[in-house]
Amino acid sequence: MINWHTVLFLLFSLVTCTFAVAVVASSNIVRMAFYLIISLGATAGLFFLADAAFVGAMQLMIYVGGTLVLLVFGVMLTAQGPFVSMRTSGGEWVLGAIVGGSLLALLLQAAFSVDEWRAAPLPNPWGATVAGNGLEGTVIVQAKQPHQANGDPWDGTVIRFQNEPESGESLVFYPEGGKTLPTAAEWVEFLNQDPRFSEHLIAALPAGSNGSAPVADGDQVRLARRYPRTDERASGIGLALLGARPDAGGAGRGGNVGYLLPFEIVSVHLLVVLVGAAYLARTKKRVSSDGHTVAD
Amino acid sequence: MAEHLSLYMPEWLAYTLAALVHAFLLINVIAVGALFFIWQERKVCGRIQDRLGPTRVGGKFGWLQTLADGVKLLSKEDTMPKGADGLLFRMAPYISFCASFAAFMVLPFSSGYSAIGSTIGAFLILALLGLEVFGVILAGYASGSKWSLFGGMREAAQVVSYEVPLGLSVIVPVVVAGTMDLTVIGDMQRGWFTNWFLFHDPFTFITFWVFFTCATASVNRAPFDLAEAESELVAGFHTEYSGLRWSFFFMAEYGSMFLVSGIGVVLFLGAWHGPIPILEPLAYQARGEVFHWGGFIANIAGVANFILKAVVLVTVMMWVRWTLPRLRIDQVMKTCLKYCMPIVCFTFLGATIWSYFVPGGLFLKPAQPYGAVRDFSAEYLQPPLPAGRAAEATPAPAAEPSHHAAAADPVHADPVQAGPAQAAVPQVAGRLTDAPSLEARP
Repeated sequence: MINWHTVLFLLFSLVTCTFAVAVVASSNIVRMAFYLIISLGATAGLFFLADAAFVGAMQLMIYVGGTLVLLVFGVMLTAQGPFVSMRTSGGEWVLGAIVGGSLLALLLQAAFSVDEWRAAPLPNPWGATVAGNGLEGTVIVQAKQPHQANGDPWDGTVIRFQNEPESGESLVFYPEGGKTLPTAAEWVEFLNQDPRFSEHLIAALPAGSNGSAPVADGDQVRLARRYPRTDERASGIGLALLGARPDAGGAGRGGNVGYLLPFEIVSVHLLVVLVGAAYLARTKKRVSSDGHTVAD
Repeated sequence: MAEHLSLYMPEWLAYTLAALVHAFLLINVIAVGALFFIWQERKVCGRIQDRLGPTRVGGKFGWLQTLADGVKLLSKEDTMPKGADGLLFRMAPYISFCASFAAFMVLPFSSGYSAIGSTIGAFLILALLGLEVFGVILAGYASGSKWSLFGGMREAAQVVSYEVPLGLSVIVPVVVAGTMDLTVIGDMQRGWFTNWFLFHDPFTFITFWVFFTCATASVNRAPFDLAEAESELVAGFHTEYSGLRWSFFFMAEYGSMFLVSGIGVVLFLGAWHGPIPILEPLAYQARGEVFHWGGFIANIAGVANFILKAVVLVTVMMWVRWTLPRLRIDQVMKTCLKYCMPIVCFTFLGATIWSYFVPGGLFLKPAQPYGAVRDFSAEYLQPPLPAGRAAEATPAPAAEPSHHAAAADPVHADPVQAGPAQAAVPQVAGRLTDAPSLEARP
C-alpha cells in the first residue's frame, strides 16, 4: 500500500531542494529567478500537503506571483547586457556556506525535535459510509460480550465498526467498573475522547435515543467528519503556521503562539534578499581603456 | 469523488482515477474552448469589420477553421533564435499554459462541480491566475530580441499594477457573501436574477465593471494587449515563437479569458443559476443526497447556464477588442491607478457599510446556501469540552421540530451537531445561514 502523502511530500521536497540548489549554482540571474519560481511553487505544494491551503495560496500570490515578477521586472529594467550573469568569488561562497550551513543546522535541530511527524489523517478511517454531501455517515456497531468464549485475555467490550475487517484495528471500550456493557452515551463519549477516533470524526447518539440503554449488536451511531473536505482540514503544522497550536492545548496559553512570528521573520528576510538581488543585478559601470562606458 | 470511488476500489486507484478524470475534463474545457473561441473571434472580428470571416473550412460557417489552423501550426518548424536562452525559451509556453490550466481546478462549473472544492477558492484562483504572467515575461526575456523584451516588460508592469484592483474587486462580492468558497458564493445567488450579486447593491454593480476591465487587462486582451502590440512590437513577447509553442500561448490566452469570465459569472452574475429559477425545486430536493436524478439534471443545466454566461462575457471581450483602439502604456497605467483603484476602493468601502447597515440585496434578500455552512476552524481551535459538559449540552434531537426528518431517516439527516463540536457549530451555522452578511454579528 503506497502512502501517497509521503510520496507527494518527498516529490515536492525534492523539487524544492533541487531547485534551491540550482538557484545557488546558477550564475544567470533570470534563470535563478526561474528556479526560484519552481522552488517556491513546490513549497506552496508542501503547504497544500500540510492542509494549510491558505498559506499555500499566500505563498503563490505573494512570493511567486508578486515578488518574483518584480524581481524579473527589476532585472529587465536595470540590466545592460542581454543576459545578466553573476560571478561569485571564493570568499562569498565561504561566507554563504557558513550562513547557510548554520541555518540548516538550526532548522534540522528544530525539525528533529518535533515529537511526531504525523502523516495526513486517513481519508476514510474506520470504514464509515459516506452519505449526504459527504460530510456525514452512519456505521453499525457490533458490541461483543466479554471474550472468555474467544479466549481473549481481557474483560471488556469490543466495539467494531461493521465495515471493518476483524483483523483490523478496533476501538476497545474497557469500562473501569468491570464487565458490564457500556451505555450508548458512555460509548459515544469514549469515542469522542479517543484521539484515534476524534482526530477524524465526531460521534453522536442516533436521533431520538437518550443513550441510557446498554449497547447492543446493530446499534447505530451517527458520525460526522471533523473536517468535511480534504483541503480544509488543517493539520497541526498547518495551523501552527497560522499562529494556533491545537496540539499544545488550545489557544490563549502563554508560549503556544505557533510559528507565525518565525514565518514572518523569514518573509522579511526574503524581502531583504530580494533587495540585495536587485542591487546585484544593477550592472556597475566602468570606463574601458578606449574611453567607452562598458558594463561590467 | 475519490471518497465515493474508494468504496468500490482500492484507495490509491480511486484517488488516481479521480484526479485523471478531473484533469481530462478540464483539459478538454481549455482545448475545445480554445478551438471554439478562436473560430468565434474570427467570426466576430469579421462581422465587426464588415466581412464574413471564415466560410469555407468544414461547411457553411467555416467552423473547422481552427482545426485547419491547428494542423498548420503542428506542421510548422519549431525555431529558436540563436541568441535565446534555450531553457527558458522552451519552458515559457508551458508555464503560461500550466498556470491557466491550474486555475481551472478551482473554478466551479455548477454546484459542487469543481475539481478542488476549496474554502478559499476565490483567493486561490487569483493566486494561480497570477502565475500566468511568468510565461509571458520569461518568453519576452529569453527570446533574445528587443521586441520581445519590451513586450515582456510591459506585461510585467501591467499585470503587477492590475492585480491590485482585480484583487480588490474580487473582495467586494466576498464581503457580501461572507465566504471565499466559490461554490457557496454561487449557491447564495440562486433564485431570480435579482439575487445575483450584480444587483445586490449599487456598489457591487459598479464593482462588476471594474472587475471586467481589470480582468481584460490581466489576461492581456485588447485594448490592454500592449505586450503583443503588433503595430509597434511586431508581435511582442511571442515574436520569436512558431508552431506548437506559439499555439500554447494562444491556448493559455483563450483559457484565461474563459477563466476570468467564469470568475466574473460566479462572483457577480448568478454563477450556474439561470435568471428564472425553473429547476430550483429539483436542486432543492437533491440537497444532502449523494446522487439524485433531479439534482443531476439541475446541475447539468447549471453547467450549461454557466458556460453560456461565460461565453457571453468572452464575446464581450472580443467585441471590445475589435472596437476600441489600443491604449498607450501611460494610458493603461492611468486607467489602473487613477480610475480603477479609487473606484474599487470606494465600492469596497461602500459594500462593507451596505452589508453592515442594509443587510440583504437591493431588491430581494439573497437566498441562503443549501447546506449549513460550518466554520470548522472555530471548533478546531477550541479545546474539547470535558466529557460531562459535552453530554449535557447535546440537544435532545427529538425535541426540536426541525429534527423530525432526522429521526425518520438517520442516514440522510442533517449534519451531526454533537461531541466537541456542538458548542461551536450551532452558533456559527446560525450566523452564516441567517444572513450571508455582517448583519447578525453583535
